[in-house]
Amino acid sequence: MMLRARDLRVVRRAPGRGEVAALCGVSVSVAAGELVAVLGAPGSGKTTLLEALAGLVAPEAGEVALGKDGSHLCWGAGEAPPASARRRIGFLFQEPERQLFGATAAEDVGWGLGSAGGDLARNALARAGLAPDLWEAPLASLSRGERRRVALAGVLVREPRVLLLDEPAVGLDPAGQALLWQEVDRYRTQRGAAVVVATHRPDEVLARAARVLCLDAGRFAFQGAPDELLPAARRDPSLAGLLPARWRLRLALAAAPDEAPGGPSWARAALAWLDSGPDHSPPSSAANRS
Amino acid sequence: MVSLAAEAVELRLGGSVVLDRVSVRVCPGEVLAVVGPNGSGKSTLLLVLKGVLAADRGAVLLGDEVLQGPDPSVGLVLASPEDQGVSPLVEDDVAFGPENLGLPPVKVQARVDRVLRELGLEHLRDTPVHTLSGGQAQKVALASVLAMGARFLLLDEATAMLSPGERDGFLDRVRALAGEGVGVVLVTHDPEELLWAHRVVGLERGKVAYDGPVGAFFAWEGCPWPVPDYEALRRDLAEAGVAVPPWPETSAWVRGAAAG
Repeated sequence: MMLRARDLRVVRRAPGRGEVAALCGVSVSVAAGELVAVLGAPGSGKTTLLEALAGLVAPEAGEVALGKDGSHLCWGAGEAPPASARRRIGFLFQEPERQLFGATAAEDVGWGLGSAGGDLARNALARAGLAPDLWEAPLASLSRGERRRVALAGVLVREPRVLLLDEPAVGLDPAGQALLWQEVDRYRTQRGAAVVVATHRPDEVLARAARVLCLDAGRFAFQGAPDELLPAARRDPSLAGLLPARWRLRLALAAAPDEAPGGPSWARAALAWLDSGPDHSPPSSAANRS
Repeated sequence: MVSLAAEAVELRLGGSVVLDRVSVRVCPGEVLAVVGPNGSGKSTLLLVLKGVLAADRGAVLLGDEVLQGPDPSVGLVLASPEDQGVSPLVEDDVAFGPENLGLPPVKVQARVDRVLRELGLEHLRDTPVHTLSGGQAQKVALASVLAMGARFLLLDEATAMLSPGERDGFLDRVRALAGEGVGVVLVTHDPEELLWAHRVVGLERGKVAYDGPVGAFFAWEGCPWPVPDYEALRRDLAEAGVAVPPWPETSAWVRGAAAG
């Protein structure tokens, strides 16, 4: 399923601060099976963008469309998405605690799924990597990373066609992160889900992203393919703080080798080392691409 | 030298053993990273070191004293920043801690101004806490604890919602505080953060499975991560006879030079 948003404008009101444009003129297009990564400093509008795409906040202007050609289900300024659109959208919130309400993991994930709910829930929890002895344990006794696995299972078990993930790997251990991306990739490639990921850890998404959007104060600071991001940061240094560590090291070494702590000799050797590395351009690998 | 130490701490929660004879010590001036799978006891260990969870057996020692409850010289930043705010506005929230230490208003204001500046939060000074984004709330939580001037800092995935550049800036600040004698415990799932640490403790199922230097941790069989790029670069260039400064000496320069 395809997701398309055009010229979104979202205004937030806060006491004493009046109106602040949380999003301004942002457009996004995600084809079936694609992943789009959203980067930006805290407060730049990443979560607001996901909320607008999900219909959780109504835009002041612009529209969101969902469908095979991106136009079957449509909603615009001040409107809520139709129920048939809402059912197709899965949202993994920044704080997994916000979306859990069952007494146990199995109850939470199986809620509303009818008589098959138990089996579907157990299957989804297994795929999300939650240990079976925790499926019937009180949710309150689970750690943050374990609760995040429950939240992921609860979203995927409903087979959404659009998947919105807000910093999904925060709180997950390496095994949990690997499972998360395995499940997201399976969903995307096999079911044709359109995926949008907001993250502060570019390494985890650049290899799988069709496009990258960088937000700054609710506006685009960059949009393009992952391998266009490093060249863009050379022209616009304000993007540097969003890049993977390896790229920032490269930018610094190229910009000011003579000022490197410990002298310039290692800086030149380090730049050569980075250039000779297997992934000297974007941190991507062919194996990760679908 | 006053250190903060868990000594043979045992803790059961809901019938299961969460910490199993855990002994961990952090010294003044030291950054200790604590890593481990989900549910291995990392966050619980921090709550025990802060004194908000009492051990069933064993003890937490602050210097020679057995910790009997939360101590103001130990600051804790929780993984969920929303759990940490106490005042409606950012500035008041950051001032709450130092005010409760009984500092005079002039000193409170000076501390608040300094930490807001250090964390790039000055423009959010009058912002209602409930309107902050997740990452902004995390920065306010960090500012609130830094303003306390604690001797020990316990950080539970405290940079997870910061951008990469902000994360580096904050960890540079943490390392500088360690240089001034603060002891830091850093719980993380991010292998790059280990580059700011002096030592690593790896927990598995509530037990200490590794306690040693950072470099050796990446060679340890239980390490779940590949070697971070900078560490790999350092090793390769060292073999070629080129000395590369440790990451904490390089980080601030990289931030400045990369951002033009």
